[in-house]
Amino acid sequence: MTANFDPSLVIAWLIALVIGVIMVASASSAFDVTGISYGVRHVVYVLASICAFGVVVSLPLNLWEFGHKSCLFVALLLAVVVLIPGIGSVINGSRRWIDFGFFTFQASEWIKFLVLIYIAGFLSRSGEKVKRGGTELLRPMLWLTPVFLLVLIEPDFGTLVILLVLVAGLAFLAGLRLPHFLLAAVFVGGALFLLILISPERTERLATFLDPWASASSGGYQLTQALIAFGRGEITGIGLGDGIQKLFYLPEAHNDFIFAVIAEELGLVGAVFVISLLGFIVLRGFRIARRAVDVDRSFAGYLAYGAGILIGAQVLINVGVNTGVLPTKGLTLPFISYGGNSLLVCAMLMGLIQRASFEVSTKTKQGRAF
Amino acid sequence: MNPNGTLILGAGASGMSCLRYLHGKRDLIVCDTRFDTDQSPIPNSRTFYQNFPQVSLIRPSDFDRAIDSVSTMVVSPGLPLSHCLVRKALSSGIKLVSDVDLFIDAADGPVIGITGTNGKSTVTTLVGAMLEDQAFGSGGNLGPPALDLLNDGFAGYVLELSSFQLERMEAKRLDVASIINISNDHLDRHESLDSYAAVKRRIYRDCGFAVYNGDDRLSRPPDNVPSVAVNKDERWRVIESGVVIDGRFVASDAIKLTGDHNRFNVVAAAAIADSFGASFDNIRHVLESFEGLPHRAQIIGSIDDVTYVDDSKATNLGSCIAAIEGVIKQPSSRRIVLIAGGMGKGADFAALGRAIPGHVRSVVLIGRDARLIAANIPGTPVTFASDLDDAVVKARMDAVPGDVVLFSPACASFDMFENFVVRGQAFTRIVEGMSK
Repeated sequence: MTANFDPSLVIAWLIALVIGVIMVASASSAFDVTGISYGVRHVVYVLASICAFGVVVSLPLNLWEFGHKSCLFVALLLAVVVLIPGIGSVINGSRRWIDFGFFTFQASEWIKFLVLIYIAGFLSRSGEKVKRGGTELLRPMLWLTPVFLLVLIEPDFGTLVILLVLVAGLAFLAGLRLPHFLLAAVFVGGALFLLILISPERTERLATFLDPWASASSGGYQLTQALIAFGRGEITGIGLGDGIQKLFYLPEAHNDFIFAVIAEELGLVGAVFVISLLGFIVLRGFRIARRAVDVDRSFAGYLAYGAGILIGAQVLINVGVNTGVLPTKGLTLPFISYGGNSLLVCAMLMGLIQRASFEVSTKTKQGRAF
Repeated sequence: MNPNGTLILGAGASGMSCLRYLHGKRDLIVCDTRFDTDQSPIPNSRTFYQNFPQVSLIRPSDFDRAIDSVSTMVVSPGLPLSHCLVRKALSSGIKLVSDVDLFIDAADGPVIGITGTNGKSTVTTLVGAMLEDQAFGSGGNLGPPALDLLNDGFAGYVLELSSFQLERMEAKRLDVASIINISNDHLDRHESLDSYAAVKRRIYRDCGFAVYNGDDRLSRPPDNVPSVAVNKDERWRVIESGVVIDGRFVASDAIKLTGDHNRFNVVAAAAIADSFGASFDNIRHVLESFEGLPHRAQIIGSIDDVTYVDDSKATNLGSCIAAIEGVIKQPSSRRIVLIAGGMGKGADFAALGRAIPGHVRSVVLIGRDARLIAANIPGTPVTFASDLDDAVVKARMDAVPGDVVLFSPACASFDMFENFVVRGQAFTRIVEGMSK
């Protein structure tokens, strides 16, 4: 059975986790009073995420396919529950978390995973109809729109964008015709733009992003400090643990801005290595997805494509934010940033890809046997 | 984290010169309390980043965190050592270094240091001119910051040093040190005249040779330092009709600078230059041609037979009074319309009240401490002006043909202008605008 795993994928993933453990320890050393507590907690999350990967890998994909509608229901439930005061707790002005004491549950991370399962399940059943006409997609959208709106109410604009990219990407792969796709893209894009315009906070963020130096001592401070980190790191970095910029974009050095810490301490070399590593994981996922589609395992295919899109989009957005190419959003760098929810969900996405690889290989072999 | 970084506190002229000098060193952090504020004289963060991409520019609220990675700190002369950020750094064991220390460590030729309450820029510039043929460069508190002189291939250096630079200077290797005079100034930053003088006298520590003011006991160097006491020494002094330089007489007519205080400055500068072997002819040549510095009792022009004088450099009472006396001493007896005011730095303006009766027709006051000054000059007509434009207009109305409108603020400029140079330029522009 091990032969059917994609070992390079697992190795790349494990390397990313190790980099994450090292960089979180370095990034948090600056402000962690106890010195190791963030680092230690991160190691615990990493170990937990490896277990989660193990669980997902051992579950047959049929199980997810069978329960894909329940996933939608759970996603909807989560999105509602997290908004109830007394259950959902507010951090930095957003109600995104449910505090269990030992673990803070971040609803939108899990909603990404659940929506992936649902949309993959839907497309694998109705993909043919989608190909014939875009209207078929209106049915799942009817169900997903409340989820999207609830995520927006938290507010978690970043996750909303990721979810839209996921749905659009999979619909496109399912064969949605280009005019329909473009129409939807224009409609959704316009809606997002309106959302930015009506929210003073988002408009301000957008302005800050367009010219962070204009407000370098206020709104643009975090971003300009990240940009200085890239300047300081140069080609080879100033050395692991020696960065000083991490002192100045608190409290996000160990999560949202970990890429800037990597760029300062490990330089362009380190930053390119990390992007390549994550890029490799995404492309590997796409390759498995294509193989799955080739052998008519469309659910496995959509799952692997979707997992790759989720990881890839998040890498792009996070790196974009760190380098000032995209406006600031509270999104983590998959596998590397601090944060249990992100680590667990990303590990489960890896589990889905790996399971797909396994099932597709098995099927291919069986196919040859006949 | 290894605390081996350097933090530059204050990104003004001297802070930026330190940055250019230290650039390339590991872990440089620049912190300025005026970071991206509107009145900020420091480069904006975008320009800063383009020029120094490896340097952190942080806001003061992050100072506490930054000092964890820092072992050395350069404090701008513009910040008092009692500033809370400086105290914080000192209490966490960070070493203070001044730009002058860095300069003296790196300088590869003799260094002359000149200080004093008033006239130090004039003396520094004069010495620089007298030693120009020996390839000496001058700068420091005025002109290019000391560290910027390093890469210009000078054989020696003439530095103007302020009390704030001396206060934080640890190096003790000046070849020649000089205090021109000491009078009340900066009493908002120094406790008393004695403590201010004690800071000034740091310039003499282990110096090779001293030139001081024989009439001013506060300027006296320690006894073990070889020295010249100007005005006490027969060979170096101001006399009725001129000056004595190295025992030789030079008539006042042969000196382009006017005013008693400037004749003293000329002798002090000559004594300093002489210690490096400047020839008498060379010195005399400089005295014949040197016209003085801009904004130091500089004549801008005449309108309706009223002369306008820019003395924006008068950032304290002593130099304002010297400028008034300079005008009075002119052969044709004239009356003055004085424009003054700004930030008084805790000075006692009663001295101004004693100096002006009989000579000053009226006073036009501007700036933050205008009313404080007015209270100290009873008996002289006073007008308040909203800004410098308004002040010049009001002074013009007060003046009668033959008068001098003297812009000698007796105050720092920071409440209304970036510095005294900008203030002087503004005055010049207004006057030139009126004459058209």
